[in-house]
Amino acid sequence: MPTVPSVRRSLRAACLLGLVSLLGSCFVSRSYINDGISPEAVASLEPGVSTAAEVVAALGAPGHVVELGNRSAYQYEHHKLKRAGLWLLIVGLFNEDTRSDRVWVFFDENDVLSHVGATLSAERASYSLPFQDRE
Amino acid sequence: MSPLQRAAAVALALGLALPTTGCLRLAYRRSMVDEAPDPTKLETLQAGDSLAVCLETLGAPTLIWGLGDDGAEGFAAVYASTLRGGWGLNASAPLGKSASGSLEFQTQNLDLDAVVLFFDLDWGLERWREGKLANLLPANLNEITIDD
Repeated sequence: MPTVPSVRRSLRAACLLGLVSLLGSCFVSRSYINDGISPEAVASLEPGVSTAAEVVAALGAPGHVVELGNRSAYQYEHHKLKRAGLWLLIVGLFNEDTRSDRVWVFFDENDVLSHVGATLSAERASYSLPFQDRE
Repeated sequence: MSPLQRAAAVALALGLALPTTGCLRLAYRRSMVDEAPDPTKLETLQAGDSLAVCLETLGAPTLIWGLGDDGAEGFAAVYASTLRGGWGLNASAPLGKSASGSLEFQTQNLDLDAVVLFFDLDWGLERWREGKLANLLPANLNEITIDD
């Protein structure tokens, strides 16, 4: 006949085994593509004044160049990806949040800056689990 | 069932479940890439709006596609994003001394949601559409890309 202490020991061992199985099953990671885009560098660009050479000097080499007739547009991008995951025995919960800094600069036929469009939100990438609301 | 039997059953279940973690896994994955344009801001855009107004309202697009030869007929500005979640089942088993096989099934749909703004030759907004990116872009797109 099992004694009460032995039953408790068994339950404690089962609980401990369950807890141990959860340890080491959580992870977070992050990765980047390209360097971040400086808001100050973007703010320094002046439509109607800045030339393509000055834009490249401020922001570096573009990721993409698109010809638009005799005009053109350059793209600058920086991505930040944050991952979080949790394994509960055979069930896993994973989340990936990718946010980007992105700038498009448009040039006229004389390679003078005509328009700038910027979205700088890479810093808003967050670690979260699938059931959590996105920030 | 006595307390001892319950404890033994729990321990046995855990003991059996632990080895399966290496070969059978059920996972829920959520993937989020960028954000869709704010619908209230999108609704403010009208045909004839300038490129400057559109950029000010929605920020930088994800992609620019030239329309016609070398973009001579205007361009499309694509704002793409993804917010998807789905369950997946992954099973794997050893096949030999140095090989293993796996079978993966994902219900996750990776189609991109997109808003596409079409601009005319003078870079004025002609129209905008939203939906799946694959369904929105014209077939005769012309993008000239210079990669390093």
